[in-house]
Amino acid sequence: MAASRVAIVSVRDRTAAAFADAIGEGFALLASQGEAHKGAANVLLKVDVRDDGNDRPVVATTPALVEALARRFREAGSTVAIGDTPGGSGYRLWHQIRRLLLGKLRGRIRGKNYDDLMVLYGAVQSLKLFTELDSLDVPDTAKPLVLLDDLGVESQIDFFKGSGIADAADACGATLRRFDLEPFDTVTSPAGTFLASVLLCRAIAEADHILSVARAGISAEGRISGALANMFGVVPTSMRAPYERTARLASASDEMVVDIFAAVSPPPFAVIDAAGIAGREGATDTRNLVIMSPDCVAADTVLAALCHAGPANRPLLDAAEKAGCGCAALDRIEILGEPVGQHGGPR
Amino acid sequence: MSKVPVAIVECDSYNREKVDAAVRTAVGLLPEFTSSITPNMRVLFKVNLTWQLEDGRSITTHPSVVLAAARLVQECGATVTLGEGSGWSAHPMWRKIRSLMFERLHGTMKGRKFHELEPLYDSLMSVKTVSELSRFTHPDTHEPLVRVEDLGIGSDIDVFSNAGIQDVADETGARLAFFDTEETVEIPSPTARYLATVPACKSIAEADRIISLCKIKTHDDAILTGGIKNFFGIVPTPVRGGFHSTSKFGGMINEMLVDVFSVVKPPPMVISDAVVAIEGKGPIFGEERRMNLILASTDCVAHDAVMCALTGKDPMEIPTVRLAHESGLGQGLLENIEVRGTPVEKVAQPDWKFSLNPE
Repeated sequence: MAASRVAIVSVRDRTAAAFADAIGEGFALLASQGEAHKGAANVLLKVDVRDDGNDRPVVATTPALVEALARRFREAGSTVAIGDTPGGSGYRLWHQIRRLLLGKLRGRIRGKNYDDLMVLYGAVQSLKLFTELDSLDVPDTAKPLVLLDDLGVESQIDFFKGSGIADAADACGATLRRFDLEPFDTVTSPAGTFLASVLLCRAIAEADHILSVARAGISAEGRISGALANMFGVVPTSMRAPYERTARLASASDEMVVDIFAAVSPPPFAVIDAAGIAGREGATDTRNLVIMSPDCVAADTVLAALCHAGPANRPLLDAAEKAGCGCAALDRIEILGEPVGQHGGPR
Repeated sequence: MSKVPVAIVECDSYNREKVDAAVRTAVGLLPEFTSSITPNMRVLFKVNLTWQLEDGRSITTHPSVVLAAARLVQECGATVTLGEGSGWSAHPMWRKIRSLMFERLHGTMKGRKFHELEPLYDSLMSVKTVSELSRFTHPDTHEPLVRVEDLGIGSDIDVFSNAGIQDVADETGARLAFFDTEETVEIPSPTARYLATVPACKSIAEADRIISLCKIKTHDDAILTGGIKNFFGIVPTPVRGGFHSTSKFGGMINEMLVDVFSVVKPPPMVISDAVVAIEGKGPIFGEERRMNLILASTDCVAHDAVMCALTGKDPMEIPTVRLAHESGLGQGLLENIEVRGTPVEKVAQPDWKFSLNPE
């Protein structure tokens, strides 16, 4: 079996042209391993938009990189979608939906007592997917109570606009997909260590080539966020806290991330934006690099090496390798382009 | 039938001496008020500390009113507790409780899968009262996962210190009770229009006499809030949220508020802060309205009826007053109320602004 290849390419500045050159070089270095997308009709770029809970995207994949990637696939004849739902925006959306539902229910069920209404209230509060909206059993009430149009989603969830990703999509004719607004599919995880099955956004099922276009980051504890963790964003926002908190109870946080990643098919291609590595308290470590690989585990392993991230990442990487998701051993990865030693270590 | 007395006394500032004099005058007009308080009684003041604002608007019961009332009751030989369950401090407290519960279970469920743990997750997330905490124990030690003492709070509650109530307690030796940290007692509601039973803080069940130390404000759901609605705070904050939301969409919010009020026994008395009231988008976002008044009564419903008259409303238009009156919880008809002290017509401000979405 061929060794996993990871390309590390420099980007001269933050323009789309510079990123286009960099990823062109990366695909060339990867040669046949970089060509999985050839002939793909529907390409999904899972970008990485994060917000601070106040409706402000604070970290996102560099829009110029997204534009360069999308343009490249568009020019190859693919339809390109760019998608994400950051947690903060997702929570706000659900809060808004529940308020709207309760507002519309107000007065329609007049005279019922608490015990009766608590059943309905509980049903509203426990909604997790848009597709469940019309499953509410509300007596004497026309369904559905809430339509997406009611929400003014465009204005309410403008994380793509705020992060500059919307402009990038506009510039190259890609469509934007806010995962939380879509149906979700229950998919069996081949890894299945903690999550036997996973809810994945419909965009995953509709894509025949998926890229994890992650923004590189490192936490205060030395844990990197790269291509693997980025795919956590394809599950519904409403399920993230239950997944995370229960996984901690079972000491299975890494396995949970791997279970989600393993359920994504076809396996995503990693494009890690390491132009600047997002660090503690919003600080950014400028690296001017892009890491690319058909093997997300290998790409993250290289990112960890670049960051001198230490052992905190081994459990995740080892769990991913054990699940057959890729290679987590640096000495078994063929690194192309910029040598790790030239860029490694914290700055 | 004798009329129910309500005292109105003018007081043009929150100056301690002026407020103390006004409270004494008001209560002095109601001999039955102090005569109902005997030595060694446990008297609970339900203060209104809705929320804390940084803009300095006076939306909570002013500490000088609390101080005057506490001293007066202490002079009768009673012990005083100042209590509230404001969401300002309760929401962070409940977030901390949930985080601690999860934190203390970390790693204890190794090998279990999500579908096995999801019910536990839902169960931990749904804890709403301190009484429920004992249900959750550590699988190894069998000790409760979280005790209130673990939270590092006793009477040191932000909302008490920010609202000046901690200082009152320090000065008078009154006990502070943050209701959310207390065990709850399920009390059947005599009215039960919406709630068959009400989970109330233990302080309510243990008090010999209860006094609503309320602030007069407009309210977006109940139109006006005074002596009656103030008691919504005896319900633990997370439960209150469910009561509020469900009753609102069922069009039963006032019925719910009166059900809560109905469990407060013996029937509470009231001293209200109407020196600076809140009109418009109350109870939190309204504007200050100077009424320059202190009110008192042994009957919260009668007090609230007079509050209506002072703000240009017919008491029977205010659902909490009407429902409480109809349920026999107090006197809501102005013709059956005797105003002592300053006449209503002298100090009424019938041009109050209401910005409401009542049922």
